[in-house]
Amino acid sequence: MWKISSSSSRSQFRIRRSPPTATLGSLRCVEDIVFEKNCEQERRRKSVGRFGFYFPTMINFVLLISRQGKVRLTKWYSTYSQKERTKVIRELSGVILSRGPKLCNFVEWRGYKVVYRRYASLYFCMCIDPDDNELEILEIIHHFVEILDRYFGSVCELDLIFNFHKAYYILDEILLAGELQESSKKTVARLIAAQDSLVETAKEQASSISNIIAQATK
Amino acid sequence: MAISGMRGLSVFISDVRNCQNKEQERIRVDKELGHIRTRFKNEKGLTPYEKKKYVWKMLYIYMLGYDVDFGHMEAVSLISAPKYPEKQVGYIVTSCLLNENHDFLRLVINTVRNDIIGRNETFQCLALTMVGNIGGKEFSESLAPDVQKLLISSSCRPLVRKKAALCLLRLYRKNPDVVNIEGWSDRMAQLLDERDMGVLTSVMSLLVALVSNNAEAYWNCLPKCVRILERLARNQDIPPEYTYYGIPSPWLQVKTMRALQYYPTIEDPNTRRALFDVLQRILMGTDVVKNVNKNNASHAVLFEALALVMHLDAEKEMMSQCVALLGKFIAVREPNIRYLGLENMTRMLLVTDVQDIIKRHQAQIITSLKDPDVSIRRRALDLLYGMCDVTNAKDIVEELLQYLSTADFAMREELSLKAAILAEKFAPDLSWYVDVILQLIDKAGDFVSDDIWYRVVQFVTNNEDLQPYAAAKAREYLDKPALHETMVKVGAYLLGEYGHLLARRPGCSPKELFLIINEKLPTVSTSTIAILLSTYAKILMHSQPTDPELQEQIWAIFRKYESYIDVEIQQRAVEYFALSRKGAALTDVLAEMPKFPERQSALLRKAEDAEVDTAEQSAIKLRSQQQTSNALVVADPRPVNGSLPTNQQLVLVKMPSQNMEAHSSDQVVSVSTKENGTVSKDEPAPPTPSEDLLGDLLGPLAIEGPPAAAAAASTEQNPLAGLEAAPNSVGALALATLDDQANSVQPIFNIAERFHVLCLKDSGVLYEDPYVQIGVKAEWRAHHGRLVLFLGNKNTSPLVSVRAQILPPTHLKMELSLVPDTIPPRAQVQCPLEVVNLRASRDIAVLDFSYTFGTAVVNAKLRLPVVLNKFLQPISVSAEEFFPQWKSLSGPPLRLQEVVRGVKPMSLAEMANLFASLHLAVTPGLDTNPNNLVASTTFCSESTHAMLCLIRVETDPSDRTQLRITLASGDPSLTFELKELVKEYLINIPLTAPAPAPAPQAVQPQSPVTPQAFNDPGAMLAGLL
Repeated sequence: MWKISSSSSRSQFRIRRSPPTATLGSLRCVEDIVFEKNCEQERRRKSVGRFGFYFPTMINFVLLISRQGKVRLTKWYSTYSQKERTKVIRELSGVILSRGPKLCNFVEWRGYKVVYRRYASLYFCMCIDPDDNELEILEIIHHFVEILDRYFGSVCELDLIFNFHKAYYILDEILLAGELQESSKKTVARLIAAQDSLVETAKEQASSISNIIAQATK
Repeated sequence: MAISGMRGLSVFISDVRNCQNKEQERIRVDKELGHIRTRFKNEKGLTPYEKKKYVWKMLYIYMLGYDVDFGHMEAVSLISAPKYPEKQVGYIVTSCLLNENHDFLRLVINTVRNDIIGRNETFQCLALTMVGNIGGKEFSESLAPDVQKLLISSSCRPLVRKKAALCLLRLYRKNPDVVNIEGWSDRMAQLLDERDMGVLTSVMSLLVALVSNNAEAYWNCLPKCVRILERLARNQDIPPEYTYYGIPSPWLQVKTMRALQYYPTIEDPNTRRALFDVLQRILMGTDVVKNVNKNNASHAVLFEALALVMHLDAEKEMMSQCVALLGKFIAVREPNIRYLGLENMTRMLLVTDVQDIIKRHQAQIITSLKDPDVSIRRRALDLLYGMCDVTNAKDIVEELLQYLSTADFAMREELSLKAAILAEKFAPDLSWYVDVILQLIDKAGDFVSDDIWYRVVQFVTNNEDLQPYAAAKAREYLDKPALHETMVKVGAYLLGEYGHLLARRPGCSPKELFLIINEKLPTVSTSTIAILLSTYAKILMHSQPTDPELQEQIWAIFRKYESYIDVEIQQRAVEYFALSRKGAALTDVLAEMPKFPERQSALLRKAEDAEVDTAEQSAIKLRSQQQTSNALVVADPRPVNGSLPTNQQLVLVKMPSQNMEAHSSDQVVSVSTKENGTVSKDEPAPPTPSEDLLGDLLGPLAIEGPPAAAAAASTEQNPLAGLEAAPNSVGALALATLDDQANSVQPIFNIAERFHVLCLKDSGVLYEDPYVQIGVKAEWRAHHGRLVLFLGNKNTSPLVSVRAQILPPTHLKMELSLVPDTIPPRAQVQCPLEVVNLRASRDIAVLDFSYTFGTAVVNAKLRLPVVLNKFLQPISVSAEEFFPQWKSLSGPPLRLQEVVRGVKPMSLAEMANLFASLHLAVTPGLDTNPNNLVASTTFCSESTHAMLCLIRVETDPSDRTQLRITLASGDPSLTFELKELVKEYLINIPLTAPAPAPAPQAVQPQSPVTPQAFNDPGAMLAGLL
């Protein structure tokens, strides 16, 4: 009653590649959609850095701009190419300098938040991820300014222009890897003083007689 | 002032500052760059001091925004200098000028490593700082162990160790594998005992990153974090230099609470209590003070505490306390606090139960929408968008519309998109939706994307009740003097399609419509002209009997545009002109547009895409994702024909525009498709009449699962049999309560019948009583299903305490979206239900639905038509594929055979139809015996994916009440379940309408077959032997 056809030589059964109902096509499409959805959820669950890493970074970059739009200090904790850096500075100074007084200290920008604070003619800006704590950053800025103030003695923009390298030293003692490193003003002041004295000692050595002789005979 | 000892640098800086203009500055900078370049070329005569000076100058020039494309090597080489001053400059300038991908960095890895492992503390600090700021993957591979050693070394001073902690954090971010979890978690716990606050702060940052990636591994750190937090909050033994405006290191507090948010829960009751004590203290003890820095710092801690409370799912009391705090914040004058209040309230929306409290602040939030600060307005908009639901949609959308006229341009697009989405998602009725969109186009036409007006056209096309209303509205808008072009488009389109419905109203005769639309013609762009031409053709078609004057006017326009520069317009003009001379044939060609296939709103898709690059809160995203499915589905009751076209999902975004184009050009170009208009005017499928009075009989069977004998058999064959116990109890419950329907409200129509109809169809009414109607529409894709439950209130007063709960059997994963508590009068609420099929089973999901109307509490337990055959996809198989497969699946449990008696007599053609409606593809010719039937299908479940099933039925022409059925598949339980399913239908279910053949709709219900035979397979088997 039931004849088995012997015409087939294929031992492995497989579903036809292009069945009339397009079963496989629709199967794939559902999987793709589900997959995309999962990825999306995953992406939303964790805050993804600019290059696909899932770690919460605190500060992506620090920017000091004057009211005239001149850059006084930049420090990049996330990776930006030269081109990107220029673009970021241009865009952000436009956004921040145009904001009036008495507004809040936060600006939403390209999916990030920029926390900024104005001290006289200088804007201190720090770019953070949208989920980070804004007020905390705002006070890191102030912490930085207080330390600068203590170091230079009532700091002004000119101090930072002519001693921009000092500003970098100081910033490196406060922030590292985009995170706050030291929250004691006293400790930072002590470390900077130690560095200065090291440089001084080296200079004295360099200007000592023996060195001058060594230089001259080189 | 100039502390710097470098005179040359100072001179250069003042030179640059003294430049009058940009041009002078450039000249000065170029001169300096040239100088540096020559000096670097001839490196011999360069003293370390000079080198240092030039490198600083380079950094300064770089900061001014000039390209510095040389000298990197010199900067990097300073790192290898033996003396501190040069080394320091080298490290700092390198980490400013270069990023982690720069090739030169590779050259110094060894030097850096030597500095790190060396004995010189200051060198260690410099090296760690640079690596921490710009270290990349290569650094992370070669330096991580050394850095780790420094961090845990007892001989290192805190200044080195805190840098090591953060440096390790950077390396870990670059490559998580560098931290070997085993053992390291104990180290971390030890490090949290650190006394030095600087080190502790850095270690906490490191911990946040570690925990965010793998909370389980660092479980042991949790109690320590809580203890640190306690210590800080109580200000116990915190060195004074670590208090900031009287607050013990606010940053460490924030960090610690951040780390705690990455732990899923806190199980230990003592730890939990301790933590809540601290949080309570922070929530209650934070006051607004005058000093702005102190205020900021204390609120930074407070907001972090709020986030932690939300994360921990605290008791409702504490949550309400949080919402109350936030409510206070959004009303204060201080902009930062207001901003953060709004932001955190948006996050709060994710917490269940507090939405209602948040809604109380609606008025306040709306005021923030008019704040002078764009950041605050954004937050307010986001929050309003997130908190919108059926109850407040009208208010919120109207607010947004009002705000639209004054909003700044940067926000208008987002605003109009959001308003359109909310209107679509939560429209209490469709006419309101049309109103909103038309207003939107009127007020902010420039910012209304095409998707928005396509969508309104889709709605109007698919809802006949809406058509006259929409046409009348469009007519009103066309009277306005200055009209946005989008409004002209949508107005012309609607009037062309449905203008004739208004014919009796004043000012709406075809001629008047034509005149008012034609006024706009000279000012519009090409794409609009195309639409206007179609409109004219439609007006002409609808003006019966033809008004010669109107016809002449329209023809004149067609003739004019026959030589228009745009080829599309030309073609339309030529073809419409030719067609309109055909007289009556025009009516066929230009018939009303067919209904659009149902699809997800392109707007929602767009909104989701847009959110990727705007600063949206994850809360909003999540919420919008949850609610995506709440979007109105175009109600389009189409006759069921197996699965829906599968390509719809794939082209979601582009569909509307393409579709519009396609439709219009269809009309224009092809006369051959002139049935298009008439044929596809789908009539709503008439509710299929009561095919099966036997539904009641089948009911118990479907729920109770395999009858005793079969179940016994299946325990051997079916490894999953044990698992089926649970759904059975659910089923029993459902069955028991079905009878409870005999409370005051009686369902109209038999529930069981409706269920059985829906088992073979994908849309229809599941339940109906005098107050409510529940409709179902389903789409099936492989093992996924998407049902939309339409809860319709039939009355003029609202239904309250609406509850819907799904009791799914174990083989289905079901997720019902939020069901609103109240259904407004005469409104329909749509609740999407996502289904995933895990494996084969005939157990049935039950919807427990209840509501209150007046005093009557109605509860119905409804079986949902999510049945085995919905996950079947017919597939035809050729002989050379069929037979080997059949052969390989020999014998039980993969292949089962059974003789079935008491079959409802039916011809083979009828049986083939029945199979087709069960999604089994009958392949004629496979079996040489004409009395036999061979069918195949694929079954989709999560565990099996697509599994092929083969079926063979042998009938006896002399006795149609018995037959032999053989089933084979690669999964024993599937074989068994499918066999039972087919058997049920063969015995009980009369042939129903959805057969493709033009079978009469009202098939007479057949007389019941012996229930005995059906209920007792044991007897049947006996009879067989």
